[in-house]
Amino acid sequence: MKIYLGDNRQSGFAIIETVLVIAVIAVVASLAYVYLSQQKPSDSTANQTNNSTSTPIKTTAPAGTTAGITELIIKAAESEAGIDSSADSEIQTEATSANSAITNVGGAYDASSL
Amino acid sequence: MMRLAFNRTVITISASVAMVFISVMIISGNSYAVTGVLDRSAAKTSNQFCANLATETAKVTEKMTSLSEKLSQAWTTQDTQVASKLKQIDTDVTARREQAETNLNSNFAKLEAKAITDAQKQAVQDYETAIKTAVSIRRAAYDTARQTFRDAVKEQVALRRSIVLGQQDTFKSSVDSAIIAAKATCLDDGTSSTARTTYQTAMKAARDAFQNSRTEDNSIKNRVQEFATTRNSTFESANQAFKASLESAKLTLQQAFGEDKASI
Repeated sequence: MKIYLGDNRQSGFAIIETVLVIAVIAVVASLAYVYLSQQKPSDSTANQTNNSTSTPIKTTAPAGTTAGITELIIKAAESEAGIDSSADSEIQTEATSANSAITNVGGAYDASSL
Repeated sequence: MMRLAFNRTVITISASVAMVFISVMIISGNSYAVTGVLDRSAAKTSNQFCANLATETAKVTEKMTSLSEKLSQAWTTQDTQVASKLKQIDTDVTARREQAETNLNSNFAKLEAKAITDAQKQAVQDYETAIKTAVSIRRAAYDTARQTFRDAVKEQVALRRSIVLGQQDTFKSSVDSAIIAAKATCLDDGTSSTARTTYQTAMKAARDAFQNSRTEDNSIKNRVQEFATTRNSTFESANQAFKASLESAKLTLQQAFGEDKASI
């Protein structure tokens, strides 16, 4: 084992400094990835939704009875309405998705440029 | 040595913070923030104003064109994403209807097996027809309400864009007027001391007027919510009529089965 005194330390970056910089780059890259991922619809989300719609509707009333049939088709109607309702917030978000681009138009001039 | 180590650490942390800051600026796509910093290198004195006016106003015009194009692209992207979302809803609704159809047919088959007499068999057939008709009417009502909602959203988005385009035209006209006035002033007196401040005041007023009108940008969210509430009310009304039809069909079938109605 070698023991270095202060005067013998070499110049350059220590490991901890290098690791810190790499960590920061990793965080920035992660942020960029998340940002870019939000620019297009996710295929995996669409698949999940499709899978969820294929789940059979369960009823408490016995199958093959009028009570069971009534419950089944009422639940189907409610389930269908739920598809629209659950998409409302996303449509609201999409309806305002160009707001930042609108605001940026006003930034075409910087008062301090001249 | 300790001092040297401390300085290196400070440099490293400072560099990291600077990298994060620059990256956030780029990721946020806020061109105003970036170009605003760059533009501050331009000449600022009154004497240089007229000399640099042509170059600087060309930059402003070019930037405005670029930002207008970005806005058009944002709207195109918006259209694509909304269309994609609506298509996904249609796909989900179709899948759920098919699933309900399968379940319903399975129930009908079990119900048919309980009918013994010809009268009971006919009553089951009538019941199935009544149920299918009720389902069909309910789905048609839902489809109409859904389409009404979509048309209303589409109309609202188009209206909003039309308003923004008008505001953008006003902004551009104000900027053009400021540029023309500044050029005229500089033409008269290339060392004018008021040309720069007049130009800046006019440009700032144009920008402020445009930005103040941005307060209405989020109002479309509330409008969409209102349309959704209306659609849901229509769904609910359709459900009430639907349930009444189901009950009526059930009672008719039970009457046909008489004492055997407990089995159905």
